[in-house]
Amino acid sequence: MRRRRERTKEKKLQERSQKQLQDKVGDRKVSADLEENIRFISQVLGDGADLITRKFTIQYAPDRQAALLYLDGMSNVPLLDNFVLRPMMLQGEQVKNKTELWDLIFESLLHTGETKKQTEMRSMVESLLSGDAILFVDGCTEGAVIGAKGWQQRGVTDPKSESVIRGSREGFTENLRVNTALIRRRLKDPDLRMKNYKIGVRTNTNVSVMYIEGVVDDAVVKEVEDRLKSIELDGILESGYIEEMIEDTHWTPFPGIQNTERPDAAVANLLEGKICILVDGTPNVLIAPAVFSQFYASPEDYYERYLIATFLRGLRLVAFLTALLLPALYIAFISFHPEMIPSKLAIAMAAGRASVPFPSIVEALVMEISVEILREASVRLPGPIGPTIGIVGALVIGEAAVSAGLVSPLMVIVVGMTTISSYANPSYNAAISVRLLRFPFMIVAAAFGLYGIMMSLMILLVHLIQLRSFGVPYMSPLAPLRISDVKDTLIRVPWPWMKKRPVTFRPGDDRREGET
Amino acid sequence: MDPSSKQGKEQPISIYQGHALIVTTVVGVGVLYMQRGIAQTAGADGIWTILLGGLLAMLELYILTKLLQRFPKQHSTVWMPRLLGSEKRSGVGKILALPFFFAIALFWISASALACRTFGEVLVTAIFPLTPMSVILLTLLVTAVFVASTPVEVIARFNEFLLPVLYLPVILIFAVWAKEGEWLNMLPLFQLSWKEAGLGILVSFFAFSGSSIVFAFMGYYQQPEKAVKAHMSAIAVIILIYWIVTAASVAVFGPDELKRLMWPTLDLVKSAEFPGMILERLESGLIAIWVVAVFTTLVNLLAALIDIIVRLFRIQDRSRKWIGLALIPVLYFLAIWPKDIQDLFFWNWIVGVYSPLVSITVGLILLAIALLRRKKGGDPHVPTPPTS
Repeated sequence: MRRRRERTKEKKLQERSQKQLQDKVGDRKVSADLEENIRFISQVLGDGADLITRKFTIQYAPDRQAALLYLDGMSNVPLLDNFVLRPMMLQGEQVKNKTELWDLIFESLLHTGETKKQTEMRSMVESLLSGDAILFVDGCTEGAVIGAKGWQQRGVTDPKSESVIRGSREGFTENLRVNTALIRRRLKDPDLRMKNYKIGVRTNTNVSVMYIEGVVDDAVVKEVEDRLKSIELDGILESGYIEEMIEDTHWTPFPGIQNTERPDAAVANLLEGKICILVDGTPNVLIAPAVFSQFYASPEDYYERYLIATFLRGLRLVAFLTALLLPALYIAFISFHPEMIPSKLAIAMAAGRASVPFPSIVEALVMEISVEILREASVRLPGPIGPTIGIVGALVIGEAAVSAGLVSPLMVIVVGMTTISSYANPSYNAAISVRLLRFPFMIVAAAFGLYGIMMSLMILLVHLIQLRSFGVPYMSPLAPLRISDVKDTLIRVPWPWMKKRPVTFRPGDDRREGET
Repeated sequence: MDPSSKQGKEQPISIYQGHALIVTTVVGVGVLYMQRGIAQTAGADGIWTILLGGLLAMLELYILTKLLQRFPKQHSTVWMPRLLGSEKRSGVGKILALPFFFAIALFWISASALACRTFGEVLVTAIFPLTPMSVILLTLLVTAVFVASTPVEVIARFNEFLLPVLYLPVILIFAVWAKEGEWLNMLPLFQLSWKEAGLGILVSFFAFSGSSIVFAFMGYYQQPEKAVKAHMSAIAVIILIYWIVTAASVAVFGPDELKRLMWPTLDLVKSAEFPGMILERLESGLIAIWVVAVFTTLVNLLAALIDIIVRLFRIQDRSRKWIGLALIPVLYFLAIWPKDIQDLFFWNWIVGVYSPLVSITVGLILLAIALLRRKKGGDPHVPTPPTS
């Protein structure tokens, strides 16, 4: 109910903002007067300094002038010079037959592939802003849009945040078209669907939704599309904006939508019946629905031998638990359960802690927070200095803190293990949620020991079980248990045994082999 | 449109979840001390009276399952008034059903409060000698209510996920048995008179309390026709767990020492010593893991209680947490009621007797009425399960 009310409210907002755009450009048609058209465009753009207006005469009808408009830096200038301006300025006089000038331009003078006639001034402005060139001819109540998008961009490079030893080295780029092509090239399936949206009232960002028809659950597609359409924001600069606008709930530290920089990972997810959302201007592609497996599954698991992949998944799960619980366990053992520590180690620990003036919770909090600061700083530090500072900071400060008697040596080991463990997580945005959760666990451990840790784990577990991502339970296929899907969770079985797609995502067509 | 509504038409609890619900509810704080009572009545023969007691528990759950299978996919609050009342005046059936619900709910609320207190006593003895009981009770109750007031499907998944955790300590106890057990302690067998044996079987039977939660949850089963198998296998698993714990305690301590131990399972784990063990003593660890067993019992009983209240008084699903919050003072009062640990064990004993008594009586009465009035389910008005 509440959701529906929000929807209608959003709809009203959307209508209002569209009206604002209407007020500026209106439903104005292209005028027959060339000068008026040019004046209008430059007025809409506020005499933009990057607007290039080139007036010229077509020799076929020297009495009528024409004008080509484009934004500097957004369009492919050599293309416009060679295949638009040159033929129109030079070849016009060679034409002998007597057709209308406007038809003639389309028949033989425009040497580009993507060309459209337009009468609406609004769509002309939109095309101009997205990098196309527009053409007006005196005396015509139509304009032409010439597809000439072309700007400086980064090439396809290694995905920075998800590097693998074996597997494709290609990563997504900031260009939406390049990204869709990267997916299309790996998935030559006619059923691959791509739907475009323009989101962001002011940024007009291109957003593409990709899925495989027949494999995906149609209800999820509809849900994703409905949620995308209801977005009402002036700017979409990164897929993170979309993620937060369409996720199921905001009240969780866990990412409800996965993201990846790797085209092969995106395709693998498409084949499982998930949906990819590509946003122009960012190499991070969103994948919905997301489940807990993003905490321990890496694309490389499917490229290496299955036994090793299974082992690595177990290892990553241990790392997940270590990153979450190790400092809390340290505090619990020191303050409540020293009898559980083997006696020789207990003596050594007591000796190590003898000079430490603080209770273990203060010790742990101080160390954890300083390591978090070091991590944050090493991300900001330029290039090669970053990792150096990290190592120097951790080693030197740790060592000095121990010899100054501020922390115990074991605490340094605990903090080091915790930090390294959280890097073992294959997905960065999943890993940072664990970084955050560590602190409440430490505080609870200081108050209630192991018992408190267990109680917090219960709450965390019920929270995870309650979470849904686009209708799919977050902990599936473990809770609710789906035996047929377990073969690709904590373990990975060889490919010949995975003949069915995971039923968790309710695929329309569940067989991987022998498709029609 | 929410894609979960496609699933929402289905009932939320799968057959394996039903199995898990029974196991996690019955296995609770009792495992920490139930072998003492068995040793007191049956001595070394406890290792077979527990098996026969388990068969009685199977019979109890079989009666309940058969009764509830007559009304598939219907909540108890829907079919019971219909069974008891007349077609024309639905109010009569509702009033007649109230005593039954009250009898069952009384067990749920007292059992959860006592489980809370008992575990609190364990914590105070073993880990927190200085922490006041009220703090422990409140943390346990608040957390349990927080979890129990989630939708039924979440409760089911929660149990399903935690079920394997319950097996961990059993493996540990099995290892202790293999290492420290003296076979001679388990002999001689069959020294009981018929009367003593009967008493021993009954005492063992009383350790299996909690299966009456099916009154709340079986209406949500996806395939109620398969429930017998799931429930019987659940009791079988519990019998196995109880048997291992009892036999290991008898083998390690002998029946005479066992009679005097307050928490025999904890002492059992205390004596565990294996080469290459990372942790020196395991009882805090066992208690930490046993939090799961106690907690699931608590959560399931409370969830059943909240569910029945919500359904009976037609309260919105959203206000489950308010009902849970309202229950906290009552539960706290009941939990703090026994004045010392002796008193607590006395009340535990009373509730242990009350549980099978009430579920067998209620089950048989309703089954008899259903057979006499030839009432059966198969009504198309399936209760809509709560969605998250």
